[in-house]
Amino acid sequence: MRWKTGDILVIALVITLAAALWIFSAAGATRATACVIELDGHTYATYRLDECHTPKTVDIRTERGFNQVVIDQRGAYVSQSDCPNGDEVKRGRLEKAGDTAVCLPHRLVVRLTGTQQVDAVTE
Amino acid sequence: MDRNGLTATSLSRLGLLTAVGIALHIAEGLLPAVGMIPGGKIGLANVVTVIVLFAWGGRAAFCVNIVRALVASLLTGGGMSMVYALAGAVCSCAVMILLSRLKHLSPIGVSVAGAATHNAAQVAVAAIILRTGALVPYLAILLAISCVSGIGVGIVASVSLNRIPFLTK
Repeated sequence: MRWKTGDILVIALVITLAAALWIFSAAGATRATACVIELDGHTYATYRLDECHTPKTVDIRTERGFNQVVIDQRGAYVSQSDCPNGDEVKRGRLEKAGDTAVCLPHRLVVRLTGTQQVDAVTE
Repeated sequence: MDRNGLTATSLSRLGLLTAVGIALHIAEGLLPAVGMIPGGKIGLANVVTVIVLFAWGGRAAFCVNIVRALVASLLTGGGMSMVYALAGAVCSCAVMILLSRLKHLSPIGVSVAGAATHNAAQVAVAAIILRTGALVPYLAILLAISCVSGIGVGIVASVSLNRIPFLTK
């Protein structure tokens, strides 16, 4: 086994790309203010977190399957799913704006949105 | 040797390696996803693709990879999982074939590039199907995982290419 110079370049490139995407997506990370549930590319429902004083349970039943989302003031999580892998349930709590749980078989996206926090504005 | 330059020996060995790839692909599906991230896989089956690519060349690697992805996804998920598997297999194989022609790349670099392309292609397909841009953070994590797993896969492929008698040239 022999490493070559190009290997390091490829690895560096992939890490840079990952970091860039991460920073790009975390740039707007702020406190979550709302939970958006999307089905098959369309917004199914939007809930304001500050209005969920008691945890709100949302059942989403389509021809593709069943998901249950629980939303409270601090965030949201997918509590139940009948899809085979259940990755979106294992995903756990969504707490920051931009946090996303996806159920590909049901074409369901649950994500938190928030207002961009701006430290300073210069002109 | 027939006019395609494929001997019966080669053909049976490629068949054997395809079967190994299918077995690895399915075995990996039984493991929990790396870091609980959907799609967070080691990419064990890519060991076979990289080995075939360096021992037989691009055309053989492409065929083995497509057959492996098709059969494995038919056996495990079927339907949409086949679309994801094929998108990943075609794109990553194309990139690996191109990069394997570069002198400055060993199987390790080629495998990392293949793993990264595989993830990027699958996330792209998911983004198109779900019509959402919310998957970008996923891709970042998957790329980081693919770096580590790609190095591991590359090392295994590289060692195999040097040690297994019928693979060494």
